[in-house]
Parts: sequence; C-alpha cells; structure tokens
Amino acid sequence: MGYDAETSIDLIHRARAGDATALNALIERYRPRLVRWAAGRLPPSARGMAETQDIVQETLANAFKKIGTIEIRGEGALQAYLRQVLLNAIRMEIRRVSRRPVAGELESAIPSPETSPLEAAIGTEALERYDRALAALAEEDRQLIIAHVEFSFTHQELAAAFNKPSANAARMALQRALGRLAAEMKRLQTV
Amino acid sequence: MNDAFDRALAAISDRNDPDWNLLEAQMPSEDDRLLLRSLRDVARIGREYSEHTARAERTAPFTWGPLHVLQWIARGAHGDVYRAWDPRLEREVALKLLRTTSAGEREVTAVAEGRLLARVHHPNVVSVYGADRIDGQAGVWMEFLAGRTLREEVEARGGLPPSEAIACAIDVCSALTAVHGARLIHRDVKAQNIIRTADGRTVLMDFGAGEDARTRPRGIEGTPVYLAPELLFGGAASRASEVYAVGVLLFFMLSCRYPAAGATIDEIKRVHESRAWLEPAAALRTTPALSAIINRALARRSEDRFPTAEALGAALQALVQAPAKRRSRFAAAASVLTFTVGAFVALAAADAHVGMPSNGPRRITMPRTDWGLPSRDGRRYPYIGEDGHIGYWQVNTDTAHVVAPIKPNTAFRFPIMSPDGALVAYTAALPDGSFALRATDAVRGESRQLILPETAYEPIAADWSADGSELLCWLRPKAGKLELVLLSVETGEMRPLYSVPPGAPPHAVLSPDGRFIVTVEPSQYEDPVWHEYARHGHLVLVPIDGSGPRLLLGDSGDDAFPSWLPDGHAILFLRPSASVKNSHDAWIARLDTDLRVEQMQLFQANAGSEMYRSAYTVSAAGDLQEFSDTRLQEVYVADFDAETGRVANPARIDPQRIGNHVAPAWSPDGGSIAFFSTTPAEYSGGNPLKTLTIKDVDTGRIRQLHPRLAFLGGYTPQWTRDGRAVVVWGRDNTDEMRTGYYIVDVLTGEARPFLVGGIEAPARSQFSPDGRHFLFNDNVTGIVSLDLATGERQLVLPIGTLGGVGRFAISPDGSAIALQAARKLVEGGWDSFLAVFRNGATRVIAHATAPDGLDLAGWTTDGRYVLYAMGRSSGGNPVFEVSPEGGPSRPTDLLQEFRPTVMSLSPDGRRVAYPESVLRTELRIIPLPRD
Repeated sequence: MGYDAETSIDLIHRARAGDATALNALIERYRPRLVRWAAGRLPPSARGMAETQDIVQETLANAFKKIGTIEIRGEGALQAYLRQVLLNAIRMEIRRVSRRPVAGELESAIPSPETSPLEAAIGTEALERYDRALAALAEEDRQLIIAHVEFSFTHQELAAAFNKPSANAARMALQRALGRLAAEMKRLQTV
Repeated sequence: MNDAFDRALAAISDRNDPDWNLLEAQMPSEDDRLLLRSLRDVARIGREYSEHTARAERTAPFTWGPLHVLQWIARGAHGDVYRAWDPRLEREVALKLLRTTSAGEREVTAVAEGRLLARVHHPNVVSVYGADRIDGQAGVWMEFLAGRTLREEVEARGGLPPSEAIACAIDVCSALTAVHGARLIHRDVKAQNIIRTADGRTVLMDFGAGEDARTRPRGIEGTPVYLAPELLFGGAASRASEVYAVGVLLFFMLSCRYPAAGATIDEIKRVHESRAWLEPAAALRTTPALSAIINRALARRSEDRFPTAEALGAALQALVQAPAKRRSRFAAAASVLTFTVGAFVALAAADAHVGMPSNGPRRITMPRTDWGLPSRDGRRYPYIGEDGHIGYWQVNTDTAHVVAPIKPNTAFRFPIMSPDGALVAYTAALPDGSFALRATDAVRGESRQLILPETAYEPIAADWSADGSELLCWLRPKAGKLELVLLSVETGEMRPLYSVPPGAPPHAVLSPDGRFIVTVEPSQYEDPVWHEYARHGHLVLVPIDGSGPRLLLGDSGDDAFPSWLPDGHAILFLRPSASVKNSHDAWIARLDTDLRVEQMQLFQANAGSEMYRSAYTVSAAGDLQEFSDTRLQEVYVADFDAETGRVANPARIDPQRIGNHVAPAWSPDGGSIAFFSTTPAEYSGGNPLKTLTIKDVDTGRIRQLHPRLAFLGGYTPQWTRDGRAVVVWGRDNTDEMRTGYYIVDVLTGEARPFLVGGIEAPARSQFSPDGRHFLFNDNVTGIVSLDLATGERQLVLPIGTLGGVGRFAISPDGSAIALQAARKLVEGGWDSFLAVFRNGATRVIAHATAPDGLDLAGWTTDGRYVLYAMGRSSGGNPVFEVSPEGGPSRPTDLLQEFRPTVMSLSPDGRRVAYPESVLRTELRIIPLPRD
C-alpha cells in the first residue's frame, strides 16, 4: 500500500469512522484560511484577532461535530458549507457587538465601526447584492464562485474539488456560474 | 451574450484585470452595462478577498501530472507556487503553476523556458527538474528550497554589512553568468527572487518573466525599481540591463533603499534624468572602491556599465582581498550551518537528530497536569494539581508529594523548584485581589513570604540563582510593562534589571555563574493572540551588574525559550522552523569568551510547536528536558451487560502494539475482530498508513493483512455472513484510482472491487442479517439495498424524508433500521436525532440540539436497545441505550473522550469492542551535544 495526499474528504472519512486525530487535522486545515477570510468580513469593532480566532475555532469545532450527519460531497462543498456556517456566526457576532455602546463620538470621515473591510472597499450595497445573488444560485454554481472568488482556488484546484475532468472544464463551469451570478445581481439592482 | 461580456467573464475567471471602461463602452444597452457592472463588483470582491487570503495556507491537495501537490506556498506575478511530492524521484519539489490566460502565449513560453533552464546547473541557480503543460495548465517544477527571500532578510536586518552584501552580489553575478551562458535573460532580478536557504546558499529563482535572449522583446516587464533606464523607455532587456539590476540589488542590500524610487514609472524616469544620477552611490556611506563599482553598474547608458555580470562579479571579487577578511561573522555562521544541515539530512533518514549521541531521548510518561520548572538535576518537577494544590513529582520514583494544600479562594500559579529541590516558589492569587510570592519547604511544608501581598503587580518567579539565595522574578502590573528584578531571598531586596511590553512573562534564565540573564526582547510584530501565552523576539543578554542589556541574536526576531547550557558558553533556543509551518527548530548558539555568538548549530529540526512548552529546560547534566503531548487511539475489548449498561474488565486489543487502533468489528461467529492499525505517514500531509488487522479472540493471535489498495478509509470493516471476508472502503492503485467498497479475503488479504463508483462518501454500510443484501448510504438518494444474487438495487429509505441521513444500523432480526439524521434549524445550526425506521414509518427516539449532537453506535444483540453516544461540547461523550420504541435513554458505563464513536458487540451480546482516544504527556530527556 502506498501513500497519497490526504484530501479533506479522506479526513472526513476518517473522522466519521471515529478517528479523533482526523477531526483535529480538519480543524487545523481550515482554520488559517477561514481566519483570514473572516478578517475581511468582521467589522473593526469585532475584529480583535482574538475574537476572530475564537469565532472561527468555535464555529469549526461545532461544524465538524456534525460531520456524521451532513452530506458533504466534495472539497468545494465542504469549503462552502464552512463559509456559510462562519458567515452566520459572524452575523450573530455583529448583532451582538452592535448592542454594545460605542465609546466616544465618531468623526464622520471614519467608516462606521460596523463596516467590515470588504464593505468599506466594495460598498455595503454591492456586497449585500453579491451575498443575496449568491444565495439564489444553484448549489454548485454558488460553491464554484465561493471557491474561486473568496478562496482563490485555481482552475486546477476547482477541478479537483468539484470532480471536473479538467482545469478547463472547471473554468468553463465557473464562467457560466459567474454569468448567472451577474444576471441575478443585476436583477436585484433593478427590482 | 455579447463578446465584451464573455471577455469580462474570462478575465474574472483567469484573474486578469481588463479595461472595464472599454468593455462597458462596448455593451449595447444600459441593461447590459448594469450586467457588466455587477461583474465588475464581483471582480473587486475577488481582489479584496485575495488580499485577505494572499498568504493563506492553501492545503487542498491535488495532483498535477505525476506530482502530488501538498501545500500552497506563495503567489507570484504569473502563478502560484506549491510544495509537491514527486513519487518517482521520492523527493519534495516546488511546483510553479502558471495562471491560465486566454491567449495561452505565456504558458507556451514558460514551458519552453523551463526546459532551457533545466539545462542550467549552477549552485546559485535554482535547479529546474522539468516543465510541462498538463490538462491545459503549464507548470515548472524545481528544487524545493527552504529559507527566506533576500528582501525579507535585508528588511528584517535593516541592511546587510558590506562584506555580506558583496558576497551575496558575487553569488548573483555567478548565477547570472550561468543563465546568460545558456542564452537566457532572467528579466526580473530582484531581492524577492533571491532565496537565502537555511544552509547558507544564495539562490536565484523565479524565471517567471525570463525569456530566451533570441526572441523578440516584449513590453515593459519586471519590477520598475530594478529596471534599467533604457527598459523604461521601451528598450529590450539585455545582459547590461541585468548588470543594472545587480547594481540596484547592491544598493538595496547596503541601505534597505532603492537608488531610483518613485510611485510611478514617470517618477522613476525623472530620477534617472536628474544630475544626482551621475553618482547614485554617493547616497551610501561606503568605501570609494565599492561606490565606484555601484556607480558603474547603475550607469545611465548601458555601454558605460560592466559589459557582463561576469565582469561585475570579478570587480567585486577583487575588492575581497584576503580570504580571511571574507570570513565575516556571517560567513563563519554560514559554514557551520552548511555542515550541520548537511549532517541533518543524512541523519534524518536514520530517524536521528543532529548532534545527538546515539542514545536517543528517554521518554517518561507523566500525569497530565500543569507543570512548573524543575530542580537543577531535573528530577523534581513542581506541579499544580487538578484541585489547585501545589506538589512535586519525583521523576525517578514516579511519586507525587503534596507541598501546599489548596486554600479557599486562593489560586496558586507558576511553581518553580529551587536548584537543590528543597523549596517550591510560587505565586498565590489571594481572595482580595492581591498577589504574594511564597516559598514552601518541599518536605516540611513550612511557608515563607518572599513578596508580601501586593495589589500593584503580580510577581512571577522565573529562575533561582545556583546557590538558591536569589530569585529572578517578573513583576507584572495590570497595565504597562513587565519588570524583571533580582530578589534576595534573605532580605527581600529587589534590583530592577530589564523590562518588556505587556503580555506573558518571557523565559528568563540566569547563567551558571550568575552574572548574566538570557531572555527575550519581544518583537514588535508579536501575534496579538499568542503573546499572551509565549513571547518571541530577539534574544538579549542582561548583565546583573546593571550595565544594560545587549542584543545577542538580532537576525530572526522570532526566537523564544532560551536556556543556558551548563558550560555557560552556549544557549539553546527555539526558532520557527524553516520548513514546517507552526513548528520550531531547536538551535544552539555557541558564545565566545566575550559572550558574543561565535557559531550557530541546528540541534533539532521540526521540534514541534512552542505554544505548549510550559517547561523547556536544560538540566545540570546537560540534558534538554521537555514535555510533549501525544494522542493515542486505542481499541479495548471488555465485558458488557446490555441490561445494566455495565462494562467490566477492559483490555487492549493488541497488547504487543499499544495505541493507534480504530474501527473494531466482531465477526459473525464471534471468533475474530477486524480493525485497523495506523502508523503516521512518512511525510507531512500524507495519509496515515492503515493496516487491516484480524485478531483471533480465543488465541489472541494477531494477523495483519495487506490488501493492494492505495488508500483505506478506516470505516468499520463489514464481515460477510460466512466470516471469510470483510468489506472495506478504499481506493485502488490502478490508474483510475477508483474509490468505493472492496472485499478483502481475511485469509489471503486479496482485495477485489465490491461496489465501486457512484458513492462519494459513505456514512455507513452493512450486510443484512441473512447475508443476502448489502445496504449502503449513497448520500444522494438515501439508503440503498443491493441484492447480492441479482445485483439489483432498491432504495430502502429515501434521504429526502429526513434531511441529511448519517449512520444507520440494521436491527438483528432485519425488521428495522436505526439511523441518525439532522435537521437544519431556521436560525442556523442543526438539530440531530436518532430514529427507527420500520414498516415504512419513522419514529424519533432521541434527539440533541446544537451544540450537542449524537452518534449512533448500534443495536444490542437481542434487539432490545439502540446504543448511541451523546456529543457534548464539554465533559466527554457518554454512551446511552434507548428502546427502539422510544422512551427514556439510560446511561451505560461507556464514555468516549472524542466523537464520533464506533463500537461493536460480540454476537452473543456479552462483550464489546470500542475505541478510545488517550492523551498522554511525556517528559522527554534528550542529551545535548557537548561543544
């Protein structure tokens, strides 16, 4: 028997089969990139690194606890699932933080403390439109876009994560998904 | 859709930045323009994210041609660089995959260049092994180098000493001479593309913009501050423009600045045209001879420069007059490094550590508790017990002794044993919020106050002097700097010596002669989370005569946990590993008579994370003493009473090989148990090697089977009814790498495909009790029954009725299926439940709400109970039994430390095999090399 590179799906197999080390390995594998991802989504008032790390750690631990009952059909699906769980947790955190009194007066030039770096760069409205349009897409379209746009997967990685026969096939699927996303974003803007 | 929109789609998917205004102008209607603007928003979101995740560890492993890609390392201008494994050569390589562009021109050129570069063999040029285009993606694979870039090095040190900068530039010239000799032009010589490896080599890499010198010139390419003036005006790259880039490199190494800096290309052009450009090196404080060389390399007109890199290298070489002068501190250190790293590579294969005598580490299993710093002989370790008392552990007799019993509302912290093992000093946090420093006699239990209760700061003992008369302490106020003081045990007098910014107290250790302290000056770039746990930064030497601290090692800024070796002329410390993320290398810095670093020696590569090192010390005998936690997966076999849930007489399944067993399954006749034994992979990121193991219950004989499969999933093996074979989940080693169920003959170990393809990730599978059907969850439609005689498939339980369906277990009489499932809650999160499916109806018999969850374990053999584990967020996971008709759940004796749990009952229902995860703490005693 030889060795081969261990995919996250292999790890899930092991975790489901009762191997606790696999669960830890899964958390360790996803934690760094989700911490960075979350750093873009959390407003400064909630974005002490400690809090970002805590939210991600807690979310991952909870998410992977349910690994036995959630249908995960590929690396891309797992990534998208974790991103959604984390996004929910972040929204809860923002709600929690926004109930806190804000110390001192804010100058108008400073972005609102509830604005995340992404919102500041893209604009709250556009980001919301993107999120809502994404939610309206078919499962695979959504996962492809998240993996490429938010987690910078290459075409090769997309092919591996979504079982596409080649990098080019993944690229074509991605372009079709992006076209549908743009149509949905436009629709949201005009309604 | 129109052509402009398609081009925009292609641009986003290829991460190019098109001219959006131009594209928008080509859209026929306002509606289409809105569509394009949406796409532009998506492109901006992608760019923002990639900034946040630019350095993210990209771990999704995949294969590219023959290579197993293991880890993302960096993003370059034209593609990503990965760490990969080449199974044919059996070594790690760096793989650069070029981003796909619509035209594909660059990929074609890159592959051609890679092949030309593969012909260049030079110690200062990265060795390229090959280049190819596979599945439409171009890639170049090359030698894997661990180290940091010259830019990182220069910026971290604020510039290099001239001798080192010259030596480095000579290496780069030598590399370029070889490249030019192969009729190639690098085109992007810059500090970011030069690696200083751990073994002291200077290596030129990243030929992303490189090009065959014979092909026609392209547009402006490369990095503006390194571009010769003629290139900024559209000229072609040449050997002379590479000479210019080396001039910029020299300027940068000496000053950490660029000769022609500017925000735009126009600004840089203006600098070139200014009068100051006649002698750019005038801005440097350096010798006239070196200035002259730099001025000539940076000459505005290419014909005024050194004609070749070789000529420039020769001029620099002439500056280095005597070999003795070249042996700067760096050169000396580098040569030692070369030796030790080379030795490490040779020894690593034999699983030994560098410089370690043949008697390897001694490993002593210790209780899991909070450990303090030991006596000088390393035999008495103070600890804080689970209930909060202070005690010490005698290592050679394995006995615990209570020193100070718990006191109400008082917490003890930071215990440290005196050198002779007679006293324990520790901090007491008192009920009124004040802190005291105490010392308690280890035998008689008498205490004395070393620092009276104090509210302004918390005293934390760091080290005792050799004679026990003084204690080195940190005073930590609620806010503000930590103060390091030397406290007289007799008089209570304190002498302040040093201070550090708020956070955890750094390691601080007195030299054997008591005249110096080695500690850490925390880096200003400390991780805001981890500095509460461990400090790293520059190692400093603090003389106790008050003459002020002195920087000992300033090159990394990421060092931690220094300790003196017994001779007082060497310091052991940890530094982030050059090759393994989140791990550290242990180094020994040898000091000369003035206590300046004379040489560096790598003692232990990949020594693990420093986060959990509460006690990392050197004993008087010159041994490193450290704690390490290891986790074992063990399978136990025990007596079980289904009526009462009692478990008795547990025994390890394989007493010869303890630990690392999973997924036990009892054979239908009760005579054997099948399970997996695991061994860690030989390289990081690889699957652990699983061996299918069969234990004969009566004789205790263990047999290991080696089915010819590339991967074994570790799901519980399922016995066929005749007990001759087990079905396992795995992947074969044919070219197609088919994943699915394989049937393994338990006598011969021969594996045949059983049910392959079409199942992504099984949650569970099982033969029907009569052995005529094989049931599995295909994760798409639901639980499917395969008729083994006819091959017909029938959907038994559609997934749609219950949401996600996980594990299932068929009742012993075959009339019902117990299963676990989950419902998505409206407010987010999941509700997991246990149900029994019988006669087309489902009955929920137990449920758990997030963050709790549950895991089905199986039926009791008489079919009267269903067993399941309750996953709690804390406090272990107890196993319950519940009637398949519902009703209250009843706890059993089984408690699992980690979910999910898999267990198997013997056919007579009186024994159970179950896995358990055990965390073990080891004290490792490792002899340090002597000089």
